[in-house]
Amino acid sequence: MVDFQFSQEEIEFRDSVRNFIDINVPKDLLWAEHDAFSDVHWPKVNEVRKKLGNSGLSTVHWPTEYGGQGASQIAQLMLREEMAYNGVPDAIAFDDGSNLIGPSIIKHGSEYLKSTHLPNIASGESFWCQGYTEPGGGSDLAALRTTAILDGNNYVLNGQKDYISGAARAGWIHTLARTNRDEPGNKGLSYFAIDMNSPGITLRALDEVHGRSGVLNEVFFDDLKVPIENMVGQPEQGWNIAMETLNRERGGIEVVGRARGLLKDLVTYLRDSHIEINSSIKLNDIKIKLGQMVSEIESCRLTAYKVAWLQQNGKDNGHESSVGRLLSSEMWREFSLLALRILGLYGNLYNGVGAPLQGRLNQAYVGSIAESIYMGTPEIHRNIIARIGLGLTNE
Amino acid sequence: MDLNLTEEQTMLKDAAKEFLAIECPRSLVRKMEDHITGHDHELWSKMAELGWLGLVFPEEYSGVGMSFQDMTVVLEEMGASLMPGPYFSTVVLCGQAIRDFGTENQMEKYLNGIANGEMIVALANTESNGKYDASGIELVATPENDGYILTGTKMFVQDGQVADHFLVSARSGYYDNPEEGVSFFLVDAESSGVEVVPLDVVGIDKQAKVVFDQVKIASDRLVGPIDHGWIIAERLLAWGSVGKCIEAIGGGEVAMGMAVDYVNRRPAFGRRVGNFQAIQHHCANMLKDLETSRTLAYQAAWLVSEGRFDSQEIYVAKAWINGAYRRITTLAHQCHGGISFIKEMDLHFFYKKAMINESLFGDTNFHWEKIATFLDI
Repeated sequence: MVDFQFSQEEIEFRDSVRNFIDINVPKDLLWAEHDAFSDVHWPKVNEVRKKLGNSGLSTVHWPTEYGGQGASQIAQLMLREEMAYNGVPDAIAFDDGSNLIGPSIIKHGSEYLKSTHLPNIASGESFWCQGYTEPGGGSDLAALRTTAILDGNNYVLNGQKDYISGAARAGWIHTLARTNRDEPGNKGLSYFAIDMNSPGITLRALDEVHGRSGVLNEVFFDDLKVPIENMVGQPEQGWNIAMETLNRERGGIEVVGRARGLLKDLVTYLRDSHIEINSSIKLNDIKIKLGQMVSEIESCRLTAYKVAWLQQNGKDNGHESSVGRLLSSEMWREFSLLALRILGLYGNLYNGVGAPLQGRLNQAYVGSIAESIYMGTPEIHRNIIARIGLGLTNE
Repeated sequence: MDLNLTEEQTMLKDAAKEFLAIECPRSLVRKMEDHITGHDHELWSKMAELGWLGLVFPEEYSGVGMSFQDMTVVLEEMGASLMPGPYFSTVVLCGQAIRDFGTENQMEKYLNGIANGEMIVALANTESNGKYDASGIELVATPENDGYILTGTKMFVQDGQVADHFLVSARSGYYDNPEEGVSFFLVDAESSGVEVVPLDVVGIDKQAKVVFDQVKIASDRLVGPIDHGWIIAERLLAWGSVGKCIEAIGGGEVAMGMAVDYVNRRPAFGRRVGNFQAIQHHCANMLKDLETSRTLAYQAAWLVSEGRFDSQEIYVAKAWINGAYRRITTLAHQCHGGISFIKEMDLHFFYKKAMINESLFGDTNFHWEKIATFLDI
């Protein structure tokens, strides 16, 4: 029977996440996404990560035999939403370890990989990044050129990965490389878990236009030796495992959480009249824009939970997470644009004196450039929706 | 969280689809476009036989006793089949209002009458000011002897041409807060002083201007408490907006389906137009809007079934689906190319439905403003 109420367990779980944030996250880390990886913040971020791991919250969705609580995907979504809503940096709650590579190892990994990695991922001891996008490849992930050639007990990797979040702080990377050069496209690819401290890995940091610094890196593999036991799943099965991994990333909930948190702070800012609301027409215009922002955010939020419910119940068709991702990237742009239109000249300030919300809405709008590119461009997601959701083909 | 329809709902939906495919073919819809009332008696009496006209009424008044959520599965199919006629006005709006606020005598008379297919009731609420908030209600109700006299004009009265009775909102008292002093009355369309002037509405919807000139009514025609009838208007707004959201997903699915089917067949440049990415992206946008709308609409219907009429999520649903149904129908036309603006192609009925729905029961700005009332600004 149709019922949109969250269960009592889910509500209690959300409360425990709120409680965790109140107690464990230092206030100066909130909304510090742009420099969460800096020397000042990273030690604190890492400490909170470990506390989160030890609390069991980050692996609540894992099966009990691996230390999880077998909770619903909805609970996991709640964790991410609450964290984002409160401005907790992504590195803490939107963690590649517990969310992406952990579940992939549980499903496809050998006993060796499970015993080596799952305890450290669960405890927050290891921090992971992901290496998919390559220069010259971009959205065409299957065109990737990084090669992995078998040499004794190792694969030797050569190639380059681009726009890798958190690479400078990560102990491990999950990535794809071509093990069979005779197989083009998405065939011939294998999935690896690689120690970032291995000889043969070098990094180059990239700054982003919306003020994030030290988050993204280019990652170079030069004659990088990776033991064969670090392959996840079978040779040449990498594509399917990677698609499954990335599917878990696409619901769009963290954008929803961020937008809800920013909206709450914007309302407070407006109520405290930092901007003079000098006529009822102006106030009404603001209310209409705020109402529109809520309607965009809530549509996106409901879709994210629907996608989780479908996946959890094995009822998803495969295109729904792309709908969620498409919706969330569009929402972020619309939401931040409306906020800037309310703020007028103040909206142009991105930091310092006079900048509303320390410039976070300004950064949100500039950041919508990136938001519409990573985790699959809207164009790629439309392709997926048309192909899988509607059966349209190119031939 | 559970998004599954019950077995009973699924069966009802399938039965509705099957019934409407036979009894409400496109040929009937086309015929009704220029018809004065849009009302097909045969279809109406068959729906009465199926129990649809009393679907959400108690069994003692010839009803089936189902919930609002149950009824929405039928509404979705009605939206898909573009079913003409006064079902929405009579059952979804007026019937439910009489069920929730009517006296026993009123329920006896009107609910039985509606459920048996003998009585059509239309909501006369909006006026020439076009407003959905309480300040829009200006038609005056003056107490006289053992009853009231109604004077004023209602506009955009859906199915006014075919109504046997009107459920009329009126200003019965004047207070600082316009939500006070609102009352609802049932008025026989044959009453002296009632004049119905049909309006030319785009598509298959029928609306009328209804003039009430010194119309005398007995006191037992008052529905709900005198001066405190705004609660009825709020509930009507919720039923109306959510009902239209549900119709939109039914209609949107058909419009999108027509487009996808067409682009899969239509050749151009040595391929089918559906092979081109520009067209595929139009289709993907339609599916995105449709699926998002469906979840929003179901959530809103669930809230109404739970009795939570003044919920932010309901306003979100109407505001968002207003845009989504318009976008879906626009893109469906775009995918069809030239044939899409030729009248023999039925797609325009959906486009026109989306146009009309956008301003019925509060336009998008209205609902955005409603949403803002939940913010502490």
